[in-house]
Amino acid sequence: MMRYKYSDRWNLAVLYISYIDNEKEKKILEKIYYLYRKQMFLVARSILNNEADAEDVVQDVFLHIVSKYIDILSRIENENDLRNYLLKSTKNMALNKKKKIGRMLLFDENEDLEKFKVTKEWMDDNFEQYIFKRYEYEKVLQSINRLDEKYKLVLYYHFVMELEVKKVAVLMNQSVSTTKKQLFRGKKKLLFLLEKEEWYDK
Amino acid sequence: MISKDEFNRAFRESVSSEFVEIPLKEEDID
Repeated sequence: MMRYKYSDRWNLAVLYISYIDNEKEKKILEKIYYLYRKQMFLVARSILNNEADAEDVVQDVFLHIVSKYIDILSRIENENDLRNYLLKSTKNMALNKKKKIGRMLLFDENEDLEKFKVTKEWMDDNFEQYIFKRYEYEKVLQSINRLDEKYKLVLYYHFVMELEVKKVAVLMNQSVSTTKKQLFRGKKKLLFLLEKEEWYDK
Repeated sequence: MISKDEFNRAFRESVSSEFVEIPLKEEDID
């Protein structure tokens, strides 16, 4: 699927609005565009933890409205009702996308994750240096956002807060053995996601 | 290439993004 940059996506939305003949419907769409798109974006981002995916969801909700529900929306008079409808739709669509990404990840893992071999990069110092040399900030952030919560936290405590494994285990309220496994698995997943990031953009 | 500081910033940003509050009004958004 072709992905648009943020500005391209919203230019597309403005283009749709320009094609609407009915003045009342046009005003409703403009109101959604100017008053609610940021709130919709924040709702989607809070669920997906990823800006590009959140932008896709807002765009999808917008297109959904244009194609199916403009008539219903143009009859809503109460501002809170309109806002609730838009944010609820955005939330539902973001949750659906999250499930879809989860399924894609599962499929991807089944296909490719096992191909990753344990190498010297898995050592703590090498792990960081390996990432520093090969990846840009945005790519690293996107991949971190896609990590399962438990792996993200364990890596965060260990590499960012520089806590030793025993202390991470205390913070996570779990055994040292579980923490070690999650650290290993988290490192593997992060490298896997970094390598696979292009796959998500296809 | 990223630095250690940027690597840490990416993790901090990702972890704290969970605590984003949704403003009630558009004008509350920076």
